[in-house]
Amino acid sequence: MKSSTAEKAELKQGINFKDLLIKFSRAGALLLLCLGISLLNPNFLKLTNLINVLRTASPQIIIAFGMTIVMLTGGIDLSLGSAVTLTSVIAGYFLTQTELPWIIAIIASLATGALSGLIIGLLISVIKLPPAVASYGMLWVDRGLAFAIMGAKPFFDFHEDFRYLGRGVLLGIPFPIWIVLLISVVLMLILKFTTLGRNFFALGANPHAARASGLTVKKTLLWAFVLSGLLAATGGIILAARLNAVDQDFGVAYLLPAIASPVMGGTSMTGGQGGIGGTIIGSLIMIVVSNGMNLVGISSLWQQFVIGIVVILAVWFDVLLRKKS
Amino acid sequence: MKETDKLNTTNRLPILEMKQISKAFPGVQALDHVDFDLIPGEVHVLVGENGAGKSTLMKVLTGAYPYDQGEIFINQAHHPHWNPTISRNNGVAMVYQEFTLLPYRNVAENIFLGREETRNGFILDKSKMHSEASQLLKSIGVNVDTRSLIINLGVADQQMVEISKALAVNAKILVLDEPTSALSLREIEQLFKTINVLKSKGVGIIYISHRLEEINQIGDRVTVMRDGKLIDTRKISDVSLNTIIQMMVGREIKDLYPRNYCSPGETALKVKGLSSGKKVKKVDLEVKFGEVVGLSGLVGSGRTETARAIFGLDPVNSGEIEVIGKSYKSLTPPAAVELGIGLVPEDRRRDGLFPILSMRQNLVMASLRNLFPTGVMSLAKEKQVAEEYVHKFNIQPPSLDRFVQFLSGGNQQKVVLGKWLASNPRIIIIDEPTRGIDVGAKSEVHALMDLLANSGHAILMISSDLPEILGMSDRIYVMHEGTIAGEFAKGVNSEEILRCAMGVQ
Amino acid sequence: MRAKSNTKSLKAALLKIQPVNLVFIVMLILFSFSAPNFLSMENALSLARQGALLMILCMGVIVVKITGGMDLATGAIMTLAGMIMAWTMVKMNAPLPLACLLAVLTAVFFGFLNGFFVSVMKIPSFISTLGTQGIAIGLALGLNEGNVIGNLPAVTSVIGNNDFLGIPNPLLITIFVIVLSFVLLNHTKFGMYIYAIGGNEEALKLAGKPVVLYKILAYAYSGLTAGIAALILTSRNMAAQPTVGLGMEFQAFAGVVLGGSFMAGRGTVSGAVLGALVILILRNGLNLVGIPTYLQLAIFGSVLISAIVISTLIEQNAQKWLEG
Repeated sequence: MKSSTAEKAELKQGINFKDLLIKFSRAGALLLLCLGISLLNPNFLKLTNLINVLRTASPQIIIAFGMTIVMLTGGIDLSLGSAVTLTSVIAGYFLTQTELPWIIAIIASLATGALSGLIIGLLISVIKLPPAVASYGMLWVDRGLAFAIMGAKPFFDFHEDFRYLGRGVLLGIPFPIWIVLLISVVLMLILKFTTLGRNFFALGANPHAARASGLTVKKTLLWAFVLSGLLAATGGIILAARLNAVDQDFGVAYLLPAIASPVMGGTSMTGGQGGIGGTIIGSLIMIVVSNGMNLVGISSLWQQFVIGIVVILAVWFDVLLRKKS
Repeated sequence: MKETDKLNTTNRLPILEMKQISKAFPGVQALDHVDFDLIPGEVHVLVGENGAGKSTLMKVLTGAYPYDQGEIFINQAHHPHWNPTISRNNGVAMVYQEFTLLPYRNVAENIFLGREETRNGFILDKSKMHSEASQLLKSIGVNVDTRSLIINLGVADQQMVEISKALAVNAKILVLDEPTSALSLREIEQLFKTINVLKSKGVGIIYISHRLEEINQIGDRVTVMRDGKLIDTRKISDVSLNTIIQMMVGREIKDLYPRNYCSPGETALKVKGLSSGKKVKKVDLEVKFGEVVGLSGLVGSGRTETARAIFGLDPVNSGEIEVIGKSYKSLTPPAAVELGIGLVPEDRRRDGLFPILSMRQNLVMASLRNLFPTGVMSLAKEKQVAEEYVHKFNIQPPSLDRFVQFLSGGNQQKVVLGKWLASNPRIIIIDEPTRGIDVGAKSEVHALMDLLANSGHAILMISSDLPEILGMSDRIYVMHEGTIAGEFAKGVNSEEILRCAMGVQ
Repeated sequence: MRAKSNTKSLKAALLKIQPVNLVFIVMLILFSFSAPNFLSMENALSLARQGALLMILCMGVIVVKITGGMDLATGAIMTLAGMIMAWTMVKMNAPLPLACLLAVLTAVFFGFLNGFFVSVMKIPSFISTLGTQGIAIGLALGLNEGNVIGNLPAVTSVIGNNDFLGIPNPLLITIFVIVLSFVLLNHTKFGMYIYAIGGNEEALKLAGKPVVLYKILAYAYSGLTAGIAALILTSRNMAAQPTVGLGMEFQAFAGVVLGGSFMAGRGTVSGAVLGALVILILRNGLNLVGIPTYLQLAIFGSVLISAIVISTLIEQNAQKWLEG
């Protein structure tokens, strides 16, 4: 039992000291990780490495944002990895198989992501499928379509202007990182200052009360999944632009980190809590762990193993934490 | 209907004795030194208004709630330790209104769940289980094919399966909670036959019901509870229904309610022939601006369901909802809010609050469209509105960022009220306005409702608290089994209301 | 009056037909017209040989599905078990029986792990099994640096390629697993409790049974079937590939759901067998018509989603239709 003074102090603020501690400990863990890795391999803290790492990981961060929004509503989107593959394939298709301007490729890609998300949202809100099942089904639909469109001949060698999205540098900072920054700001604004954002939190915090308070639950849910689809597409576009090719299932490795990052950043899987800022930290932790493993010489083959463990541990902590409150 | 065989209960040793049982929850004494006993082979009816303590007493008996004070004796042996397992081992079994059955498995499987018979320790002996289950059912006069799936059985038969489950583990103390609420007349006859058989086997039955007409037929003794206290235990043959009702209601309470009546205005909400789900059969009611209309009735009579149907939370089968003159077949919650209706829900925690969100977030939750029509929010405006209601309702502690789950019951209710009032409704439906909140907060809520009525709002107040109904309402509707059984002007007494609620002429 | 009750009983009878039976028949017809050698004996035999893996996995997944969970790791567990089997034979010179035992034990261990995460740590099943999927794939890749393990001793071939009394071994093993699952689910306490956990977990708890334990056992059984499948797989390929099982868990999930096990507490072994056959026939038929593997997966996904949507809509509206 907590001491009565601590309890009183807590009651006064309505803030759990434990929660505050945990928030800071996340940032602290990140710092410790960075320090630890730099000890093992001093190349880590070199600016060029850090910028490189961030640029490569930009799609991952953006996708984690999408998962964050869906988790805020209390759901999950298992199709995000495949949506990345599909949307980058669509972009590649329009870039290499048609004569249309490259902007069309971007629009098509975004539309595909939005559509995939919309279907999942409809399955959940109209047919009442559990989010896990609905998004798992779409995972395979997306994945299959991606492969089907890609076919035996992968797409590569894209238009120069398009590649700028992935390779360009503005004021010393790579373009992808600018995109991440822009998207974070926009999403943070949406979550904090719009009724839509407020609806996301309400839906996750208590779906019954949300409905009973007159909120339009169906629309909110649809928006959450459409947004996550759009974000997956953004990630897919950046990926295609940076690699200048679409020749394999890139997205498959993105799913687990996309689940772990929000959870480690404080977004609860039960909904109603969390946000973009936390996901940035969570994503950075995942990225640093990955990069660290690379620098230390752990083969990428074992990395999947590590990530699987990390996801389980992260969700477990989340379950434990939510049980208390 | 034929009466059940009466038991001569004098000079027989009880199988169960609960002595001086007390149980308190934060803010309310749910049980106050209650004595209750049960004699083998009797049907002991337990009556009381909503909140009298009947279900709490039973929860103590089944071990679901620990008790604060008192003692439990089984066959004159004292049991200092009591929990669900010990309770079960001592022959206590309860048949709830929500059955604990597996819907897609058959009768025999359900009866034997956890105690399956096997042929050699491993393979199930299905034929043995079916024949034993069949025998068990027949022994209580029930004719159901043990291979039927539960979901294909009617409620009455499902209930029989539940009772058989209890018998199969040698229950000697069987608690039936409102067993006839979902049954037809013929099915009730069947149930009574079964109860007779159980009586002859020496099973003691605690029968919770509000259907007074049945009490005479089925009961040997009756215990009346009120406000957590035992009022009296009498032989059914020695007491009249009127006396029972009087005992349930008690003296007229001279509570002063802060109510200044004014003359009502136009019709705000009118409901005609409303039918929804199974609980709302045909409801007609009307609320005018400036009125507080009370909606009384026993638990399960369909009041909450009516409110939900009006607001659009439950689907409407038929009927009409008229809001300020305009007629609708049904509404949706967003549409209802748009029309100026607010519904303060019965289940505060599930439908009213967002426990992990802050006070200010909760308070503006029903007003988002009103306050921020473009979709862009101004946190300053949110703060302003939140502060207004925190101040108005004296919500303690007045810290806007405090998570609502940490507030007391009374303050939580104020937050829910504040949320709805912030949406500027003209019609407010409040379901159990003062349930589970302390006396001080109660009178604050009443004062508020009076203020709202006098400033022109239309209030439909659902309450199980008879004094509250009597003290606050301009008019009172009484619901009974899905329809309006009576309408009263203020000045009626509680006995009349209770009689109407129980379906007594 | 009589006409009305006749149509009602007709409608009730129609509702009893499971969607999967319809799909099965429709597909048989479709493919026998569009693919030239669909209805031939050789096609059927080859189907039986190839279908063993999916069928066996489905027999494990159905148990988990009935408890209300999803096992997304079963393909990866099969892959890992296959790698273990090959690795112990090639790198440690283990005799075939021992290698098989170790492979199966590994699979069962991962099943227990899944069960532990779901039942004790209360992590939702899709996350738990996604996590173990990653762990299993990671281990499978790391074991031989991503390379295939070949050069297995010749005796290994016996499991997957030989016959016993004229019947291919894989078929025998498959039948054994089907019968085992059938007996377990329908004739043992274990099966009863699995259905109870899915149907009304509270009821089982009230009956005093250790729900946590039985949930774990459900996942462990699914692991067991994945291990058995691994034996056949490795034997037929005479090699173990770290990427081979990819997507099998989805086909198993689809087969089980098409077979009628969507809601917790419901589903039968026979349904799952039928559902697996539907997927197998679909796969076979699409192969014969020339549709590439990758597109097949998308088609499975669409079929699965459509089937769920249709059967959910039917259930939601059955009552109205019955009376209307």
